[in-house]
Amino acid sequence: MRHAILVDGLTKRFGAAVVVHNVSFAVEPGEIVGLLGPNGAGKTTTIQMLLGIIKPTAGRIEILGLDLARERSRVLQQVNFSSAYVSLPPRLTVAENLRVYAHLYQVPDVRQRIAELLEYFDVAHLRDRTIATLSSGQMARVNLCKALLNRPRILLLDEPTASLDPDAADRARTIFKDIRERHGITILYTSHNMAEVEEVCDRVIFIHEGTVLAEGSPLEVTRQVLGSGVEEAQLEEVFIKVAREGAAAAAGARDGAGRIA
Amino acid sequence: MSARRIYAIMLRYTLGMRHDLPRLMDIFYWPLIDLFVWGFLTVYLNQLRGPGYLALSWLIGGIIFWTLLYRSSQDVAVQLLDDIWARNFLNLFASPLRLSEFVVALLVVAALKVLLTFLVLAALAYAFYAFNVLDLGPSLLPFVGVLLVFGWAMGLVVSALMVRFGSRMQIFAWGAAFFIQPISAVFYPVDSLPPALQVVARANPVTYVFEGMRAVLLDGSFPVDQLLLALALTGLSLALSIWLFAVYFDQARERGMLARLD
Repeated sequence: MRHAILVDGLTKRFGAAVVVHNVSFAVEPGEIVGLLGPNGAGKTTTIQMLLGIIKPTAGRIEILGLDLARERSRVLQQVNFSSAYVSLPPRLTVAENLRVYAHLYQVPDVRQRIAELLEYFDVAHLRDRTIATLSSGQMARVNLCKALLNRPRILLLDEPTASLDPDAADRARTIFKDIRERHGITILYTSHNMAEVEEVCDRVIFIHEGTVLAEGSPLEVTRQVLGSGVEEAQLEEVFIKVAREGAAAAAGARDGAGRIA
Repeated sequence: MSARRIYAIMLRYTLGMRHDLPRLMDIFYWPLIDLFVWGFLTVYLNQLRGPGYLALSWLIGGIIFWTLLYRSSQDVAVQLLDDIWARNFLNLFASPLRLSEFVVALLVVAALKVLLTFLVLAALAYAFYAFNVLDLGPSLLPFVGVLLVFGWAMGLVVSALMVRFGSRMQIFAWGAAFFIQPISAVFYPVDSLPPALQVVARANPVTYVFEGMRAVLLDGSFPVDQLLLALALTGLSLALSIWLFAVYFDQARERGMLARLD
């Protein structure tokens, strides 16, 4: 089966600093995969390389069987993106913003698609409000409308719930699972909320200092880092251990026994 | 290139104007202030020197054409800056949008806004000061073309600097055109400059427009050879500015700057 995302030997250097080092992974169609790691681990740089925003120093990215470097525009037609740190033009209304992006992604039925999404995310009443007047929760939902406009086959979400209160974040998680079930969308997801990742993701890829430290289901990754005797996923513990012990935890993960070198 | 993606970017920049008072002031208010200040100054100068339609024409024509140039430059750069400020730049370039489509849309919208400003200024100059831009005859079109396109080129150079070195370069978005104003013969003939600066001024295509405008108003002559030189220099400037923008955009992707612009 063709991978939804295939990353092979991806490396990014900024001057002397190696931010992403020889990272390889694959995401299968319909999977929700969490890309995890402490601040500065290289998650956002990896996502931005997948979006063609940052040019890799080395390595290859294949999305839906297409080489991103060669067929950027064709690839991105089938991908979309949402981030807590990226916004929409504040002086345009919700409907105007979605109209702009619908044309940018060459959506065939602009009005109908916008109406569907506004309804689905329960923001139809905000359609004529400017983005500048929305709360962060409302803005996050509008960002998700934008991210689904082109019926993407792959959705890249960079900390999509970072600015949401627990209720809004819970609704967002339900939506992510729902769109995967209804449309079979592949989702690559970064978050610092480990409980959220355990709830939403089928599989996680743990990155530390630009390299893949552990990969598998949340329980498998927990066992790789904390030890094989662990009974349930504890990504929060994994995260803290990796953030504090860094390479030592990595060594434990690599030998699969969870031992600290 | 996709016409629909170009349309999307044009839509983004034109819809934004409706809710944006500062941008509307850029298009109408400040150019009108310039026109009135210079217009009334020239009326006063004519009163001092006796009736002199010629002096009035030079200055009014100068300010209308100068506005066309600096608005063209400013519009290209400020539109891009708007997306940097809005933290929307990443959304745009994480879409299938191609750089060439973005540039075309940026230039077309800037041209539409500038032509709108030009028409309003020309109408008011006629109403208040009896200055008719149509007196420039067939030279009007190439004059406007050179100023518009050279403004694009300057705007793209500023945009390239902002993309490559960050929004600290934004000061040039408003001021770039003023760097070349002293050597553009806007309000005085190029011969009034010191000899060394005259050489520099003659490498500037804009100089030929203002010199040409004065020649047409003075004796109706139309310096075709100089206009052709201006057109050639302008074409070269635009080609170089597009090249610079593409190179700096690529370097920004290489250095991760696109994601960090704010």
